[in-house]
Amino acid sequence: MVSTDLELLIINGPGLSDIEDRSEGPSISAIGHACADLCEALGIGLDYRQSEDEAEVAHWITSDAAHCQALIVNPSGGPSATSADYQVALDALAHLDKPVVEVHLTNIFRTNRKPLQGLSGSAGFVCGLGVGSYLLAVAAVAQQLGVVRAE
Amino acid sequence: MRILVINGPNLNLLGTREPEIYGSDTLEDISVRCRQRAEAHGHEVDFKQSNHEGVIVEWIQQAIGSVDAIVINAAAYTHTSVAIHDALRAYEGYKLELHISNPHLREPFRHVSYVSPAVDAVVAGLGVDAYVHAIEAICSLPMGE
Repeated sequence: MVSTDLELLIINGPGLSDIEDRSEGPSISAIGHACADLCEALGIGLDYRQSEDEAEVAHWITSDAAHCQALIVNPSGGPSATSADYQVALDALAHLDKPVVEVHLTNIFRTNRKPLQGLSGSAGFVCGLGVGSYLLAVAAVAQQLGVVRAE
Repeated sequence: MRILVINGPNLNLLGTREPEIYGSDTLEDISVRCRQRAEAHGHEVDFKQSNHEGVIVEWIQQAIGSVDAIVINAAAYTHTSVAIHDALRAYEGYKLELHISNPHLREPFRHVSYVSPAVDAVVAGLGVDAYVHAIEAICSLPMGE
């Protein structure tokens, strides 16, 4: 284990707070615990957030993301996340000069949803692995940040 | 558990073809890392590459009933092959689509994947390390226990 000052910001957008009720897998807090365990093992600081408020999520992306070294975003959305401000915030992800990974619990292509448009060419994408989508993204980001070496 | 990793056209050139997009590791380097990671979990990896669509279709058909999970980087066939889509639909085991770069952030002709709706999971844009991460994720699935 290497202790670092690296901080990873994980943002969960609107429509995820009730996933347990919709029996689509683990709760958003259970996912947070799994990510925290992995980050601790990797020596990465974790700031894990979820909000149903589009404006709040937009603020996190446009302001707070400046202070982290990497960002993992589950934009979620659903019917509620349609405001122009939210879209502008998601567009702002393209201008972050740091690793960005878009994650989804389920395979969005089976329900005809589309990945975020306009991310920078280096952004990663993971969907369909449940909590594993997040853990894979964390492991990949750790490698990109040089926390763990490729074996 | 047996995991089949299928690589499509031009991936045999990995390490030399547009390294700024695909990196400098060769496919052989990646296959060694995948095997080592799977073996650490007590599983085995069969790692293949072909430039021919029909060969890939046959590999998927042969995997039915004999392989527990498929990782497929169909490369350019991702965006054209209904035949690979149909073969994957017929395969009942776990299926993960992988891309080294993120096709959705490249040319518009790469934005449609015939593979994505036929698989369980998609991993893209995380470089060649994604192969090893995908093996790890599959070994961590409940079915992998």
